[in-house]
Amino acid sequence: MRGSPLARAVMTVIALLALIFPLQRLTSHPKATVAQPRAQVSTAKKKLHLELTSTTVPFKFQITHGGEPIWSGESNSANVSTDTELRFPPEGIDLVLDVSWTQDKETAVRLALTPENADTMLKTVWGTMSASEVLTFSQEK
Amino acid sequence: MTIEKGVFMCLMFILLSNPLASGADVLKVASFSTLLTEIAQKVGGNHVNVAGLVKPGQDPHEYQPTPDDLKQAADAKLILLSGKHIEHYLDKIQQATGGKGESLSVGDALPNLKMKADPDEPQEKAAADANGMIDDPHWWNSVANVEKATTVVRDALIKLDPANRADYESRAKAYLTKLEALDQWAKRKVAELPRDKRKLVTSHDAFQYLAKDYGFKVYAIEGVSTETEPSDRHIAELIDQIKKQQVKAIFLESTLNPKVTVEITRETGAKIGGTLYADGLGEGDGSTYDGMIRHNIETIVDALK
Repeated sequence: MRGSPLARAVMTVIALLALIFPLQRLTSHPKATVAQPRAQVSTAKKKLHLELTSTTVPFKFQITHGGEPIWSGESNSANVSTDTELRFPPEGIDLVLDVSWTQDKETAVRLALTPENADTMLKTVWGTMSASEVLTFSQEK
Repeated sequence: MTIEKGVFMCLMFILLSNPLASGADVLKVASFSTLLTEIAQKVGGNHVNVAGLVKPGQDPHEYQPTPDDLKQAADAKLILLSGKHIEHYLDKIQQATGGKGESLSVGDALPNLKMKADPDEPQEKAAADANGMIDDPHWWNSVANVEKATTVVRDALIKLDPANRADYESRAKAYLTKLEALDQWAKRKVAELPRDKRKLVTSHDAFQYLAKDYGFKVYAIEGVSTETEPSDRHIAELIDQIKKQQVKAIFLESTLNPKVTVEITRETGAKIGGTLYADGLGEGDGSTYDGMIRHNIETIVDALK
C-alpha cells in the first residue's frame, strides 16, 4: 500500500472500527441470539356442563382434572349435574371418574360433558361396588 | 419330636417341594431381552432356569452375543427373542443352536407400529419395507404389549412343559393382575398432564408405543436405532419444533450418551427432564418392569407439568 504512514494508520483505524460491529455480532454468546420463548399459548377456559347418570343409587363420586378434584359428592337420585370452567385444548381433556355404590351389583354410570355451544360427549363406565376410569373427551374428529 | 427331627423334616419338605433341588427336570430358557427374562422368571417360577443374555442396562441395539451366550442359547429348550428385527445377530443364534431349541420372537406376535427407517443405517435399511418403513422394536414401552407378551411366553412354556400347566397359568394370572394395576396407575398419572402438553422429546425414537397408549406426541433426536448419529438438519428441525411447541423438558436415556441432548437444551431453553429407561430394564428403579414404567411415567409427567 502506498501513501504516508499517517494516512495508512488512519485507514487502518477506520477499517478496524468498521469491523467492530460485525465481529461483536459474530462472537456474542449464543444465548443472546436465541429467540425468547413466545408467551405460553393459553387455551382459554371453556364453560362445561357435566352430568352423571347412575343406574344404581345411592352413589358417591369424584371427578378429577389435572390431578385436582373438580366435582365430588353423594347422590340419592340417578342424575346429578354441575357447571364448571376448564381449559379445553383441541387435543381434548382427561377426566378421572371415581365412583362407588353401596349395592353389590353391576352398575353403569354415564358422564355427559357438554362444552358451551358444542355437542354433548358421552362416556360410560361399568363397575360392581366401585369403578375408576380415565375418560378422554375430545372435540377433534 | 426333638429339634433334630423337626429340622430334618423341614429340610426334607424343602427338598421335595423344590423341583430345582430335587433334580426334577427344569426347563432351560435363554432370553435375549431383559423384559422377557423377567416375564419368563415370573411365569416360570421354579420350573424354569432363565439365562438372561442381554443384561439390564445393556443397549439391545448394540448387543452382540459372546461365545458363552451362544452356548447357553444352544443348551436352552426355549430361546426368547424380542423380535421386530432388533436381533441383528439372529444368524449367529441359528448357527449356534442348529435349530435345537424352540426360538420364539415374542415381539412379532404383538401389535406393530411402523416408523421411517434410517437409510444410513444398514440394518434398518435391510429390514425396511418398500416404503422405507421399519417395525418399531420398542414394544415393551407399552404395558398392554407386555401383558400380551406374558400370555405368549405362558403358552410357550405350557407347550414345552404341559405337566406344569396349572402353575404357569396361575403365575401368569398373578403377573397380569400386577400389569393391569400398573397400566391403571399410569393412566391416572398421565391424566395429571394436560393433553396439549404431552410432547415427548427423547434421545432416540423408543417411545411410540407409550405415546400411543397415553396420548403423547414423540419428537426423537435420533432414529429407531442408537447406532447412528443424528444429522445437523434433523437437529435444526427438532430445535425449531421444540421452540414452536414450547416443550418444557427433554429427556435423556439410560443407555445413551447425553451430549447432543444437552446441546439442544442450550439452544432451546428447555430443561433436562430426567433420564428414562428406553431399551429395557436397567439399574436402580428400572431393575423391574413395574419400577421402570413408574420411573418413566413419573419423570415425564412431573417434568412436563
